[in-house]
Amino acid sequence: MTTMFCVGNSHLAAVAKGASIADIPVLALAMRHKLAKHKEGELGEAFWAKISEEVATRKPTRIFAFIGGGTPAMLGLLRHSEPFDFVLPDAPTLPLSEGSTVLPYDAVRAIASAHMRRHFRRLNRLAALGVPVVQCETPPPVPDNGFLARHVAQTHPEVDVASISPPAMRYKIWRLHSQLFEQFCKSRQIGYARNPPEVADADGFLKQEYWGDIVHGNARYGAAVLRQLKELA
Amino acid sequence: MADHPYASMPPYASWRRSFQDIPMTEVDPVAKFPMTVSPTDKVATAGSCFAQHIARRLRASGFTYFVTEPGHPLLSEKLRAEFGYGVFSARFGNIYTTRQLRQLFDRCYGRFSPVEDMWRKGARFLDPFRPTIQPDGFASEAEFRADRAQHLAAVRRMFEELDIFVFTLGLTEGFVSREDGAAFPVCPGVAGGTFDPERHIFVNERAAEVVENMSVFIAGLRRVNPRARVILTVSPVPLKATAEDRHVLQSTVYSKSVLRVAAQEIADSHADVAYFPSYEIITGAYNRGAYFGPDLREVEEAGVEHVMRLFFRHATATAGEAPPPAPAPPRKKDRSIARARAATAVVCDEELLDIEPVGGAED
Repeated sequence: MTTMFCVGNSHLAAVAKGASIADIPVLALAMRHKLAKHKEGELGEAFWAKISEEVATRKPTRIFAFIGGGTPAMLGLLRHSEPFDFVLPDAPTLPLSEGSTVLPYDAVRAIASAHMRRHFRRLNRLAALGVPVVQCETPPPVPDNGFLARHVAQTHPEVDVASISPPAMRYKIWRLHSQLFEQFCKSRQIGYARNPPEVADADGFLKQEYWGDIVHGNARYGAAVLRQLKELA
Repeated sequence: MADHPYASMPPYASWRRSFQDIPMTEVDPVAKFPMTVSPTDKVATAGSCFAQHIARRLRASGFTYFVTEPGHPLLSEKLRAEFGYGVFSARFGNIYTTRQLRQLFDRCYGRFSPVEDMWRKGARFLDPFRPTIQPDGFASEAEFRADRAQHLAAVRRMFEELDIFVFTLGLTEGFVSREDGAAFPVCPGVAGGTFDPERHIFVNERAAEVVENMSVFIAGLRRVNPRARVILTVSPVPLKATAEDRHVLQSTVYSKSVLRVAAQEIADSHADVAYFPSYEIITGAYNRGAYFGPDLREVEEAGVEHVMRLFFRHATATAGEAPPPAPAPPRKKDRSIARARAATAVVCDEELLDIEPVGGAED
């Protein structure tokens, strides 16, 4: 059976953990380690040399990328001291958080894009290795603010459920993030794999059986992703 | 010595004594100003392009430049400027005519709802009353509606809480809706919308109309804010183009003359309304056009400097120099992003613990 060649940041872990459930062999190469240390947000040349070596040795037909994914949590997990919200153009009926300042969609998009720039650079580098790359969507947000608050409070005790941004706002930021990745990939002829439909509930949030922590899916989620990606490998 | 009224007039009443042997930069046509702006007075600005200069200088000075739509802290300075935050006290863009100002006030308090209240531009949505406030308009009608409601609330707050309202009268020419008289800042079809002679009509206000618009506005302002004081200026910037069938210079002189006459009439007939002669400072022949740029329209920085120096000398308790800039008002320290980053970093690190890093185990 073909081994899935996977590279990325922390969302890669769900896939690695789900390999045994899905019974699909996975080579998971994490963008961490001394070779991968950031220098102004960039990965070191030694890291890319190592990835190139792995590609040359293993000759994958596709590279599955799990790059980035921190932007939605960074901008939207915790309620800002001046709460903000925005209207997603393709889902304009999603509610606006009460008492929040409505920011222009284009401005939020510009902020998120700036935050994601280094991820786009990494995707470009990966695509330059000469093997087709497929960037995988990050899991949808967890709808349960209580769950998120309890989790964050383990390291930040001052955080309570009122500190967590409303679910609809978190969902919008996640979806904007996905759209930005998808548009970038399309512009660079990089593949983009959305989440398997079965992981999301009717409102688009991650179903409880797939929850990992505040941002990651669990092994079952990883297995669902792998089963979908196997069709592309 | 002959006894007649001119004999006892102060020097500034004499042309010769006002200009002879006086360096250009020292000419002072303000003479006296009936109002004092204190550093704690909340000063709001609105009007045409020239008002932006006043706003910029006030913001950089030690005075309280009152802004009710400053832009969210997440937005960089560059983004704020691009999206029209902080250019004026609220995000209304240029208000060229007194009709626009009067209608803005009425719209804030639900007394006027223009029929033509939104323009489409491809898939985007424009506000006919501030069509260039965002680089590409609004991304959805829902965003447009939400932003407008938020904007009008911010303008209401500005009117109700300001101490001094500086308004720069810019133009008498404009296009309005035939249906309900709604005044557009820019002719439909120029920055958005579609010009339709069946629906849009050119107007060129007369002095009496300007006086009436401002008087109605001031009365409304006083109803919601009895302590509000008003400073009027006339923009010295010539018309970019005229819709009258005559030379643009004739139209410029007509427009500025009407506004200057109206400003004086309004100031003379209302308590706590004063006229500040920035128009005279910039356009006066004493400077031989030095305060206009090469296109004879744009006002040079030296001209703005002259205006503001006299503003601070006569309209404030300072001696012509702006007080040193006050420290930026402390923003509520926001730790949400740093906390989210830290919390996410913890779980991200935990997630990757079991994965073989590229290049072998870590040190």
